[in-house]
Amino acid sequence: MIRYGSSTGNITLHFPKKEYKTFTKQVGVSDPENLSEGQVKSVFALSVDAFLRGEFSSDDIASVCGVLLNQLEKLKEKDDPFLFDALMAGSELGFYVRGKNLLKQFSAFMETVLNYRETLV
Amino acid sequence: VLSAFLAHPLFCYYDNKMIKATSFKAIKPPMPTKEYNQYMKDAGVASEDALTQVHVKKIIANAVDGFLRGDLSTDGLSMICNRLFRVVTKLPGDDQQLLDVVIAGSELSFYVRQPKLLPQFNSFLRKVLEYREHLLTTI
Repeated sequence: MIRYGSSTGNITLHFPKKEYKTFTKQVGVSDPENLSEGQVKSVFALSVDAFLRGEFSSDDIASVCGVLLNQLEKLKEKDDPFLFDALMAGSELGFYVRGKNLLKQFSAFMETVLNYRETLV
Repeated sequence: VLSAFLAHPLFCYYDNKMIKATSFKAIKPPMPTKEYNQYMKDAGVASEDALTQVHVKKIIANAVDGFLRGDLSTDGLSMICNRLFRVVTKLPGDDQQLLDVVIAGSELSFYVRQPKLLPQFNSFLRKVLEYREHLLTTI
């Protein structure tokens, strides 16, 4: 679950637990509390692909990016500076899509997410 | 507007589900049936056959409020608008603004997945959100 507070009320997003578990299993995660940078990237890529197929919503991406961001912050060494930016942008989607005056920022965050996905082959 | 919309090559119905062809694949977001039924109930109607324009407006208001709380995603909102679009086209009377809003809402799930179409996504979503504000004073 991910929560955002705003002046117009709280936003609570459901976490796609089942799909997240499937993705982590698919990339060979043995300890769900400790993902490597490569595993974080792979789970991110699977999530964006599911979004592009219509199986995931932008809110699901936001929830998963929030969790992956926590995982990334646990790592002492990181090689890809753009991964943090993409996860940060992704985790903001759920909030910015709900602000009538924040939609330009939403687009910018979504573009960051989709463009970063394209760099992961 | 309606005929142009229905003739759009990226939009079709199949087996009662909305399928949108993107540049790479068709997408089929799930219909939030449980929430939709609840919004109908909250609007005071038991089935789609009994829906009036006022009911549709109340359902839109409930769905947008659900979206703003996080209960519905843009995909969920889009699927509900798509469902209501089919209802609105069968209703007597001509409410162009209502029709425009359900069309705009039903496009959200397609446009949000296309980086080059995100400005249009913003415009469609803004239209839906502004209509919700308009409904505060009219229903």
